[in-house]
Amino acid sequence: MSAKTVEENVALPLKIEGRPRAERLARAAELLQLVGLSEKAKAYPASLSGGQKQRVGIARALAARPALLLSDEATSALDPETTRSILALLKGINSRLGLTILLITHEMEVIRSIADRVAVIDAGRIVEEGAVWQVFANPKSEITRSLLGAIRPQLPPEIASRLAAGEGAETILKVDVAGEAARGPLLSDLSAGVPAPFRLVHGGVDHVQGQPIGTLFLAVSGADAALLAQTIALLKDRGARVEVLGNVARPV
Amino acid sequence: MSPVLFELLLRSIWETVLMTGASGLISLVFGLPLGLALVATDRGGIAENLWVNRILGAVINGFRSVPFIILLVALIPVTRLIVGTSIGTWAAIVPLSIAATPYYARIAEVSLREVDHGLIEAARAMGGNRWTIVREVLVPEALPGIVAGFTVTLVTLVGASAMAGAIGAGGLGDLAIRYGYQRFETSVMIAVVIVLIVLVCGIQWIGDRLVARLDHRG
Repeated sequence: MSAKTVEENVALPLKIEGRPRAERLARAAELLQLVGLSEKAKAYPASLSGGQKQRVGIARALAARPALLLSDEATSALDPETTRSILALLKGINSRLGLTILLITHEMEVIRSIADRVAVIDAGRIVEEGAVWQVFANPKSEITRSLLGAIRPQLPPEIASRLAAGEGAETILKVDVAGEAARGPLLSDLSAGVPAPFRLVHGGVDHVQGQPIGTLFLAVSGADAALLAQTIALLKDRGARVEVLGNVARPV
Repeated sequence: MSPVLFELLLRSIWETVLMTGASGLISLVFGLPLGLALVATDRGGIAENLWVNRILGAVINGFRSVPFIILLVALIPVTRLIVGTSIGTWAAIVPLSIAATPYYARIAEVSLREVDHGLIEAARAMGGNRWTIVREVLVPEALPGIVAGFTVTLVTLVGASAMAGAIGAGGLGDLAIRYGYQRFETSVMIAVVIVLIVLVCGIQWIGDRLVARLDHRG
């Protein structure tokens, strides 16, 4: 509300509830302290930055002591720096006040850094849900895969464009490991267990909620089908998910 | 200018200020709720009722389309009913108010309509009822526009009050016509014009200052 000071904005839900003025002001001061805007209590929103306005919004939402904080795209219009500070604030509120926060966002990075559980909604329906690291490690639906595309390793397009189903010099495998499986010495097991050379083409290991999530793209010699099968069997035995993407005619 | 004329000028100033002030106040008291009603009953408003909205809009347009000088005469029975007479300064306040109220209602409507719908939704989410939304959101957020619109209305009333001289209301317009124009007293005419300019500038200046103080939109 542009016509009200920061303090009046934060106290508004209590005013609507009909609480006495002294209680409203005390609660507003307490909340502004929480979001780190105590010195802006008498300022008008127009003089605040985007991140500060968002903080006022959060303080106002907390004023009436809700059971759940609903945050719809709260960070979507903010720059990365401000986004981080708002997320840190939300995380602090979550742990200090023990308040559940329902965060709606299309930024996977935000989910990665703050959420415990995630539900993916496509066309108004929940298509998948679970702990963030599990959903990130093993996305079930197409929409989740496409949303995660930006923050999970993808096969570089120049390699993807050369993939063919038929014979080739090398076979490209996509290996997904997460949790316990990703803590084991997977690649050294592979090189010790299968007498075939492999190359790491692309990939990475990320940590979400303290759990490692790895996606690796391996190039294995495609000449010997038995060795390829052995490679896949060993990887699967170690808890990895393996997907044969295709063959490339010449080594990449 | 003779002392008698000067005396007349002072009295005319007072009559104009009285007519403008009283009818301005009445148009504020009735026009603002009317403007609120127009916004609230419109499609997507906080008390949507399209029939009421259409009827209200038609009545306002009706009053707005009648030329003021005609309204002045047409309303004589109403004036007589309210004030007891159809002649004089107080009698002029009735048609002036009735003309200015729909005018101000439209101006207030424009400002109220510009209030961000998200703010109304926010107040509703906090559990606010219609009256809370009006008191905490609509009016405070639109206040700079409401005040600026009131300034415009007052300035328009200064001009309209000159016409009220036709029903013997007195005021500066009346003085300018009877003495300045019909009696060729150029000095009276000049004095009236100067006073009117000062009056209008003063109203506008106060209005602008008030808006600047109320506007926190950055």
